Amino acid sequence: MAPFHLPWLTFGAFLVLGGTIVLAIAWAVIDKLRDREDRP
Amino acid sequence: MMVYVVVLVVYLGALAAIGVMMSGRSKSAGDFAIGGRSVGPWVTALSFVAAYYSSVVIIGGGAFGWRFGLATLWIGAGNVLVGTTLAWIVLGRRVRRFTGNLDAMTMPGFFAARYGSPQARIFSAAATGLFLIIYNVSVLKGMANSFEVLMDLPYWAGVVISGVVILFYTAVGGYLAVVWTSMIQAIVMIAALTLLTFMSLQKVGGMTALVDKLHAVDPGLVHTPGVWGWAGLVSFTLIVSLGTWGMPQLIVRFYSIKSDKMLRLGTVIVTLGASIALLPYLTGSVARVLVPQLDSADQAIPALTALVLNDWGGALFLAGVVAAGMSTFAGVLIIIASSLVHDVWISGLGRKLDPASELRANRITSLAVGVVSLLIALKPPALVLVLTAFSWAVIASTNLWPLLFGIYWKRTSPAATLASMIAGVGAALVWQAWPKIGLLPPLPDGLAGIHGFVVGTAVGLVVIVAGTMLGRPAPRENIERAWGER
Repeated sequence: MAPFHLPWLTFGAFLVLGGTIVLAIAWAVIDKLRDREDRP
Repeated sequence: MMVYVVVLVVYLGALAAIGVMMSGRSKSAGDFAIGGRSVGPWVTALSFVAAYYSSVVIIGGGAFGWRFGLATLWIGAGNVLVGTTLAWIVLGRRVRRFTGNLDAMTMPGFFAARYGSPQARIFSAAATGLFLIIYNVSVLKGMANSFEVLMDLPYWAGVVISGVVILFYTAVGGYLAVVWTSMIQAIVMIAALTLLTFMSLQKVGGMTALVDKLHAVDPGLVHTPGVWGWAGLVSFTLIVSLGTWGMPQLIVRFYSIKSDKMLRLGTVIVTLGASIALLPYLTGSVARVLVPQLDSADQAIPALTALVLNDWGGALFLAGVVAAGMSTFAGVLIIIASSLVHDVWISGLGRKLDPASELRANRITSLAVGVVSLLIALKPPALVLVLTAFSWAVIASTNLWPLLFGIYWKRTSPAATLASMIAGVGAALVWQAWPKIGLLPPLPDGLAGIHGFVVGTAVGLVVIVAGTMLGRPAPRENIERAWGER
């Protein structure tokens, strides 16, 4: 049983939300670093 | 009642004032349609959220949560991951660069310049324009229903009040007024939904108590896919998530952002802002426990609002619903107007207009299209969500693959693009109409819940890939211009 007595499959929606926020931040950071490396 | 009037008058007055302030900055058709590609990341990201989530999502999403329970949280999660973050990462930069390289202001204009196909431009402009008007009618209807329930105003008055304010600031201030008002509207929406969620969870005894009480009503309201079933849940999530990739009023945000680099901060802001997508479904589920006896599921959110919020909170929530509807409606109006003037009148029919006349034509067209939508909304057809989902299916089936392949696959064939648009829309329409055509055998149970969008996009994908393998690519000059190689 996941937090709040939810089944894991339903709680997964919250995990996907959290993962998406991490993905957005990670992409922004990686993209900035890549841009810096590309600069002559 | 007085509190509602005060909050709304102040709020609507502020929106109209922004329209007047921005009117001086719209000096050309390019300013009117895409804000002269000068918009910053905060405004771009929050206006994307506001244009994405209409009042239909708040009221209709609550209705889905009430009927189908917590499995509908997956719709919100899909909106954030696929409809927002991946859309920004996959499409954002390339759409901005390509439309800049090709000097395209609209999605049909991009198809014409990228593929050298005037037919693709006309088909996309016609299908998108027609079904966006249908979409706008459902958005206006959602707003008027909220006025009806929360303020006891007659339906027609809700349509007229919201319609007139939007028409004013859109026609006067153009795209910049739309994105700036949308940013404020997004903040109001976020505040309103957060307040309603917090207060309703407190009333029900917290998240764990909600789950236990829903389980007691029906375990299917807690499990995934639960009472809805996989076909309905997955296909609806796909429509309202992947569908955004073909919606011009959202994609245009990428045209207008000031620079590529701003997409980074924009992606983080838009992801955080879009996270409110889960809240209508969550509060709809709370409503199932707190207000179980309703004539229609569409009353779930208004009834919950009346139960858990005081007058000031209720007024803020109504402002949030109206904000959601207005920002979507206004964004769509700009798209239809610029598409009709630029793609159909000037490029399609070959009429010449000087810059001042083109700007004037955009203003007049946005007013005319808005008035038509308003008049249709006064005597509206069918159910809100059915209409919205249907129009999304057609628009997304038309634009999604031609846009995605157009920015990633140089070889994509113009003929395959046009064929994909026609086949995608045709398949979506036939699938939706199937149960109503008596001559055809009924669909098997497992397939009947699949939405026309899934069928339309699947057919469109097969046609564009197969057609490109067999057909010829666009003229070299168009490809080189799009990729910035000349």
